[in-house]
Amino acid sequence: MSGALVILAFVVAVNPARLYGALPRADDRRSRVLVTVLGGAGSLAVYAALAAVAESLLDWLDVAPASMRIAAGLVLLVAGGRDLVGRPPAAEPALRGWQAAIVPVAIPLLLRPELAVLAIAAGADDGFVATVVAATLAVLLVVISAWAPAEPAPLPARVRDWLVRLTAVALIAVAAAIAVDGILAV
Amino acid sequence: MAVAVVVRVAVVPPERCPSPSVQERRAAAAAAVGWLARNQETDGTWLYQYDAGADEISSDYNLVRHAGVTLSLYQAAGVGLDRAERVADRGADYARDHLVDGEPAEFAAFGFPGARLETGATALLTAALLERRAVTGDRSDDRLLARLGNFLVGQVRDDGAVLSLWDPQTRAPVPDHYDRFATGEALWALARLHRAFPEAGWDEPARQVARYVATDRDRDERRFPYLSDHWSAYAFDEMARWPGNRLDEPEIEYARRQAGIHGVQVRYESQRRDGGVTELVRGPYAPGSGLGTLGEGIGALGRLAAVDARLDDVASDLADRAECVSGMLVDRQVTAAEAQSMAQPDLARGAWFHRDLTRMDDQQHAISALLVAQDPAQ
Repeated sequence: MSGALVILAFVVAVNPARLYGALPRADDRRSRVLVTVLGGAGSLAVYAALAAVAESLLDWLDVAPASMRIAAGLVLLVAGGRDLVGRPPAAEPALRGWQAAIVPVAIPLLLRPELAVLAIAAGADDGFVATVVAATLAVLLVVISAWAPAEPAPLPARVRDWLVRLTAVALIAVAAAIAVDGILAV
Repeated sequence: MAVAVVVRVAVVPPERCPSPSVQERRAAAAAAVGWLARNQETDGTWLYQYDAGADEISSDYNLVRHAGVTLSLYQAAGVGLDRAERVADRGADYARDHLVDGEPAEFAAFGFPGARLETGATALLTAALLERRAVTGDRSDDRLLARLGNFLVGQVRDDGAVLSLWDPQTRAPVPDHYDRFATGEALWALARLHRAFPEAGWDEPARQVARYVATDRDRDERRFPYLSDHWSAYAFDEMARWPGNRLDEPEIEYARRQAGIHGVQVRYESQRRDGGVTELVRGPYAPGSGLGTLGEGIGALGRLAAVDARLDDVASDLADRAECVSGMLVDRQVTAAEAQSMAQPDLARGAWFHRDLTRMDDQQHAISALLVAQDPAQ
């Protein structure tokens, strides 16, 4: 995987437009951004840890990096299909105060199986730094979307819906590219 | 957690790649040579196929595989394995006794008079006799090699495609009849002929076929799935070693593509298990011939990477996959102890079985793969 592909993969897999409506509705914008930053940082720490141990983990699991790329591509493909045809997650009851960073920001919005698999595949292929940079950019977009006002929304619902699905299509394309890359690798 | 389990079981099961020592690889190759020695008939042919489940021996035979087995035995003789040369010589004698002569260019082909002649049989016999020439230094087949080469050149079309059959009725190649392996076999034979006889002009038809293989064959003959062609891998390695020759970019690209095609198959094969859930999702072990050809292809491409820096980026992975294949081969070979529990131990010891069947080319390809992995630098 090239560095650009890793960045693109994280951004479209996170799909910030899809998460927009599910971020906790804190009383003020500052609190909303704060819990998103906290949840994002926690999620990033997990992905950074996975990227750091990716090579050793794959060694331990007896899986070649190229095979992990195929796995990541297939899992992302499923996630892309879900994002394309499924409804985006809706806002659900959140834990109080800063704990909203854990539920729902980290779990279930940012800590997701497909991102974990991607972090391992990218960590083994492109290393720790590239993976963390890509994941940070993706999380940053979610933070920026949290900064946008909940009411009125910055984009009409129909436009946001199209953006979610276009990103899903991009995820499917990226997932296929990653899987093919893994298949063609030695 | 459920996702992790599904991914682990269905997508990335563990890749099991034992790392046998050089001695273990050599012993496995020697045991396979032993199988071919024990199961050779007095006329020089080998037991074609044995079904251990039914305890039945097949009466079929195949000249392409006969030539291939002879080749692998000369390769084994080249690294000093006991009995290999003697057994190979008997196989070569059988082939010399079954040559068909023809015109216009004086040619010889391995086959039966009156029957269609297979390009692959003559190509592999050519490679086998060239291997013999290299191992023994004996030049007595040089005239025959030229005639065999003439037959191969006659099968090459203007665009470099190789016709796989020759018809005794028309005394001409059968038009529009190709075989997935005959092209690579002919290419390797021609490439080796040029290396052995650099002044004889074998390089021109070899280049012609190489160009076709690298650029047109996948489109013209087999679009999908792409062929993993160990014979072409051998051939491009051979051509890269021609004095002063440098492979074209399309040929290097083809070699790189082949490295990927072989590589993913090796990884997939190493995920297979004999039983359990993994067999359900990955299927049974490949036959020894299938696994062996992967090892041959990977090994030949690894040797190519050793002499062409444009493949440096895949050299390390190729070495890993070659080692993996040899590990699987050593692991899956029937040992003397295991053979004792079978109906005919002499037909089982040293062989590779697939669904109770072993065929002569299971041993052939496994021997070649083990020898390539033993010393990929040579």
